[in-house]
Amino acid sequence: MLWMKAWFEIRWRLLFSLALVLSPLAGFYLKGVPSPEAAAKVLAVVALLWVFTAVPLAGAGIRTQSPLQGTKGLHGSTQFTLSLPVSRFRLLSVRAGMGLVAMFALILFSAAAAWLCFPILRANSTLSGFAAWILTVACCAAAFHAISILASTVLDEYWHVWASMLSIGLLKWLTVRFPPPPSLDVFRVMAEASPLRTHSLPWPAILVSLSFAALVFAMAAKLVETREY
Amino acid sequence: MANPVIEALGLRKSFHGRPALDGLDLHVSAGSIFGFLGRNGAGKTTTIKLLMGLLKSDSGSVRIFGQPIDTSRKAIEIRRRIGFVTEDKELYPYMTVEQLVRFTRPFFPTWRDDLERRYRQMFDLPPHRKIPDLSKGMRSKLMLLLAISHGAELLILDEPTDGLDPVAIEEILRELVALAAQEGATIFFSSHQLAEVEQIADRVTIIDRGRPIVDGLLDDLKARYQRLHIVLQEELRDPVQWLDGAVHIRQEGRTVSILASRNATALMEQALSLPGSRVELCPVTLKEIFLAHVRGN
Repeated sequence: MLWMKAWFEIRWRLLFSLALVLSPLAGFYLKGVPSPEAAAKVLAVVALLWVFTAVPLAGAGIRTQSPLQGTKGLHGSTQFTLSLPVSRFRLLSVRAGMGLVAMFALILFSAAAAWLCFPILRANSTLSGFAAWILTVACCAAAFHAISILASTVLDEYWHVWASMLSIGLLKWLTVRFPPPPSLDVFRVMAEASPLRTHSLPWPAILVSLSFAALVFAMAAKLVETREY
Repeated sequence: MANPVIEALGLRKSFHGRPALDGLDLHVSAGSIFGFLGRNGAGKTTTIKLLMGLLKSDSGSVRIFGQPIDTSRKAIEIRRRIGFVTEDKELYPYMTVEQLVRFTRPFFPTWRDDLERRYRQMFDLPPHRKIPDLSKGMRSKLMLLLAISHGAELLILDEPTDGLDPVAIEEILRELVALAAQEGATIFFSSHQLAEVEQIADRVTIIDRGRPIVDGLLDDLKARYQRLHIVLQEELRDPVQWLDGAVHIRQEGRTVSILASRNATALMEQALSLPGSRVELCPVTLKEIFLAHVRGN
C-alpha cells in the first residue's frame, strides 16, 4: 500500500519529467541529426536532463508530497502517515524506491525513443553499447537521486530541489577543480568517456556512484529515524 | 491506578528554549474516557505527539500499554493498537475516500469489517470523492472511521468533533461511549469543547503552560467544586479576602460569587455570618472549573 501512495505522489512528476526529456528529443527529431557529433550532442542533453529529473523524482522523503507543486512546511497528513504502524525506514525506502523505479523507467523510455527516432545512433553504435551507456547513466543518476533524498529529510520540499541542484553543481565544480582519477569521474563517464566511445562499462565509476548513493541514503535514513515531526 | 493504558511521568519538552511541557504526569486507565483540556498552546498537541512517538521528550517517561516507546519496533507494535485523529484532519490530497480506506486497512491485522460498514453507513461518506473536496466535518468523520475501524484498543482523538454539526457530534459522542462500554476501548479525548468532554469523560486533566492544574474523576470534581452566590445587605468597603478553598472570587456591588474547590460548607458558614447575607450553593459546570483555573493561573 505504501507503494500505491508513492505512485500517487510521483505519477504527475514522472509525466512532467517525461515531457521535459521528450520535448528536446522531438525538437532534434524535427530539426534532424545529420552527424555522429550532432547525435553525441543529443545524448549529452538527454543525459543532463536525466540527472536533473532525478531530483524531483526523489520526492519529499517520508513527508506527504503534493503531486506537482513543492510544498512549504509539513503537510498535515504526514502525521497520519507517521501514526501508521510502519517504521520510518520503510516509509523512506519505499518512497526512495519508487523514485528510483520512476527514474529508471524514464531513462529507459526516453532512451528507447532516442534509439528508434535517430537512425544515426543505430548506425554508429551497437545496441549493447547503447544499453551500457544507459546503465552507466542510470547508476550515476542514482547518486544524484540519493542527494535529493537526503536534502528532502532536512529541508522543505520547496527548498530541497534547489539545495540538491546546488549540491550537484558543487560536485561538478569539485571534479573540475580537483580532478579525480578518470575512471572514477562520474561526470566524465556519462559524457566524453561514455561506454558509447570506450565500448566498455566504467565499473569503477559505477561502483563509486552506487556506494555514494547507499552511503547518502543511509545518512538520510538515520536522520529520518531521529527527526521530530 | 489499575491497568494504566497511558502512563506519563514528569514529561518535559522545550522548543527553542521555550518550555511546552513542564513536568506533566498522566495516568489513563483501561476502558476509561479521558478528557484532556487546555487553552491553545497549553501543550495538548505536544503531549499527543509525544504519546504517538512523533516527538521525543527532553526528560520524563511515557509508557503505553505498559511499554516504553523507546525503539522503532515497540513503537510500531503500540501504534498498531492505537487509533489516532489528528488536530488538523489533513489526509492525502490525491486519494479518494475509498482509496484511503483501502490504503489504511492492510496496516491493521485487527481491521473490523463490521465496524467499517457501520461507520460508513452512519457517516454517509461519498466513496469516490477526493479528500480536498470533503468538508472539514467529513474529514473528521473519515479520520474517525479509520481510527475506529481497526478495532483500536486506545483512541487518541485531538479535537475529533471539529467541523461537525450538532447532530453528528451527538452521534459520535454516543458511539465513543459505546466503544468504551462495549468494546473496552480507552479514549483519550483532547478538546476545546468542554460541554462535549463533560458529557462523556470519566476523568479529566486540565493543563496550562505545560503543567497539570486540575486532575481527577469528573464526578469527584463536580462534587468537590461548588459555587457560592452571596447577596449582602450592603456593599463591602474592602474586597473579599482570598479564602481557603476559593479558586475564584468575583465581587460586583452587593453580590459575591465564589468558586470553591473545597471547604464549601465552611465558606458558606463564613458567608452566613455576615449581617443580612443570603447564600446559595450551586453546582458548577466543567467550563466554570476550567475558566477559574486557567484564568487564575
